[in-house]
Amino acid sequence: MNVQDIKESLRDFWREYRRIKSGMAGLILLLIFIFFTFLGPMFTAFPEAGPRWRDTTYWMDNPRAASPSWVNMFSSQKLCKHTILEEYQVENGITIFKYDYPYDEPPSDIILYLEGVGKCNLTIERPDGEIIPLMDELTLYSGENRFVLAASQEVKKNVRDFAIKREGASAYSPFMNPLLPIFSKENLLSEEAIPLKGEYLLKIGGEIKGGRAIFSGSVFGVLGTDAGKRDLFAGIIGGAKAAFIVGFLAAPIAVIIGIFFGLINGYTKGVKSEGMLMVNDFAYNLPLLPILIVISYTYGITIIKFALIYALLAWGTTARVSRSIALQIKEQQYVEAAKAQGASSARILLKHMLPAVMPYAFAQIALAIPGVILLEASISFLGLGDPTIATWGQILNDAQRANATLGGLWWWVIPPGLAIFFVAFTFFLVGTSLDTILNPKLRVR
Amino acid sequence: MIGRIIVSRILRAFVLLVIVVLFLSYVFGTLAEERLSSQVLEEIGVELRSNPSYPLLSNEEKLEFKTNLINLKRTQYGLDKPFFTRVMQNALNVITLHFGDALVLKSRSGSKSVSAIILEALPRTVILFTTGSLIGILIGLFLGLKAAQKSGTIFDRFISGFAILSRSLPMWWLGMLFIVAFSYYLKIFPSGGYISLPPPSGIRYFLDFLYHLALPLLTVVMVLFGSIAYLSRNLVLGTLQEDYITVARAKGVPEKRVLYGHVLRSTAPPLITLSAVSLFGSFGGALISEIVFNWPGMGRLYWTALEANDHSVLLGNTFVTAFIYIVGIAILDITYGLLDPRIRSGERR
Repeated sequence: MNVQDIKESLRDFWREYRRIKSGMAGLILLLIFIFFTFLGPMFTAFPEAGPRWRDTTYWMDNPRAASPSWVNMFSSQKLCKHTILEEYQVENGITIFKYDYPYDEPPSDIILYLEGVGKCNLTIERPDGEIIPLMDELTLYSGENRFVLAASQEVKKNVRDFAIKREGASAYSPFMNPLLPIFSKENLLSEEAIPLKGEYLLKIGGEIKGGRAIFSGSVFGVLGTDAGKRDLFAGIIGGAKAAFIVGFLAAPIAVIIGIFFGLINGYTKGVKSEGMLMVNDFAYNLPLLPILIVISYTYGITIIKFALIYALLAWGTTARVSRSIALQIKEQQYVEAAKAQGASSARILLKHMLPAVMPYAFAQIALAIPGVILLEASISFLGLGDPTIATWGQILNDAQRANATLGGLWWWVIPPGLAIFFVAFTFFLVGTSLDTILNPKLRVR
Repeated sequence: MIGRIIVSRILRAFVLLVIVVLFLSYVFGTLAEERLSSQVLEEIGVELRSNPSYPLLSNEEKLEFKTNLINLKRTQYGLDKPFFTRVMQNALNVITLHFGDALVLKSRSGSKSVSAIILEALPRTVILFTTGSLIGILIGLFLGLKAAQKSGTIFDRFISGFAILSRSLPMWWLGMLFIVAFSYYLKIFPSGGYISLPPPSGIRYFLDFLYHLALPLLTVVMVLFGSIAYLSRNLVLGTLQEDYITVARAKGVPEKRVLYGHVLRSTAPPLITLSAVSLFGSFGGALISEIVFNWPGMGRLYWTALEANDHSVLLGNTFVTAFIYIVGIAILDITYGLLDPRIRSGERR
């Protein structure tokens, strides 16, 4: 086969493939998957989500178990959006963060990052002109200083004093959001507090060199966060890489092993062939899931290791089909002719039989990928997955452990499974289309 | 002929089982060695610290005393025997169903025996999976035949599309979705477990059990019937184009009899094999779905054993799962042999 021939046959193949609608749909989905695998992380707020999935410091400023931002469009109650203010103004030595508050519930926390050295104080001015002192003395050290206001005793005391002064003595529940009175017009201390909407000014009296203010909400990003404050959208985009590696490493190796095993098995005769057929049967009937559970439990597993172990165990199906194709080809005249000319077995196998099975291999690779991805997800779901990378199965495992289904945290449960489904479906579409064109058994009909 | 096929099939299943067991024993052998060795050192540490005369010994005597103690303990735990012997012994124990005692877990009746724990879980898995498969196959078969009859219509396309969809999603994830939808939002079904607490008595017990079974069952059926329908549709469509079907129709044989008599009979053997393949393909998924539904079967046992770090239960459970899988496939292969006239009469494929 020369280059011209290959070009020709590729063109023929493409002409046929283009006509299959589901195949084209699969191809488009495949391109989207590859695009997100490599470039996706750049579109998220947390590009290192994949490798740093278990690094809690990477996620600590996010709200806990927040629903996706777009739920606000469908609910009458406007939930507080997670807001990060990077910009501030400086007037008369006072640094001002302007926070727009149009929501029906207060932010759950305010986190301040300040740079500079020295001391400053912190107040907040409400839209109705009331000024609440929050902290009298913030001590800044060189580097970045982090202040969590809802956790500060001083802030809690100041806010409570403000509420009591405004509405008279009242019970103050320690379980209540300590920031609620700041953002309320009436009933400052009860669950029925009426929100005071408008522009709030967070003022820092003193010299700072830089900083940002984070108003934690209960809706966040594209897909919300999990109970570990992790951005689920970033996690799902990051998990694409694991699925990509598993699929594109395990399936091709397994198929190549199967193709060669089947070819040699079909070519050989007698006891050797019977023996190989038996080994093939063993591989075909192997209970993969229990074996993989045991291996991952005992030795621990990474994505690469999983892919390789899978490839070594799951070549039975391909070998079966490859053998039956080989049995047919063996009787063809051109193989007989090559044999008569004295060609070696290796030459006949590689030069004459392999090219006939090769197209089938491509279809088989695509069809094997969904199985690998589903199996990896199952292992990850059991909590035995690769600890160094985010996978969709692991996200679902976390959801299961945190009882997300019983708490109605649907944004934690639905997207990872949809992602698994999306990738498996894509390869099924591509695989079945390739199969109809390339599988010699189907073509004979 | 058929007798020989059955014997050889059973033999091969047994050999595969032995291979799997040897492999499992090897893997668990390494695990047990690590665990036991560290346990020996720990126990010796405790013993030396509590022994009042030990600090009075000279350094050489200390070393000698310690080595003796280590050797004693290693013999006690069987660690002095070569690794290979231990693996073989372990494999023999497993094959003869002597799983020993669990490290942490206990059965509901309080027994520490691994066999008792597994025997408690096994029936629940069998009930869930066999009922689910049966319903799934019946629905799938019915829809597949209908789709083949109306091939090319929207209904047919819908069935084919649904088959690919249901094969692409993890069964246990569908279970999670069902819990969110039916237990959290609609509150129709319980979210997990196999019986209410405290369990009701009499007929109410049975009804309560069914009530808990409903959602896991729905999950298994939903994933299974699509692929069964698709398989039977394709097989039946092939048969429908045969000449003898045309003849039967031309003779005026009622359509129902053509479909359920002529077509189904000749497509039965491949249909059974292919259904079996998709059935056993979904066995793993069903096991993991048990975790989602808190259904205390063997799949759930994997989860509890992993959480408790109980590797003897894990080994026993893995063996029983592998056993069910391998023996199940062998039985279905034999059934296929019995059904296929070509094999029955001894003709070579």
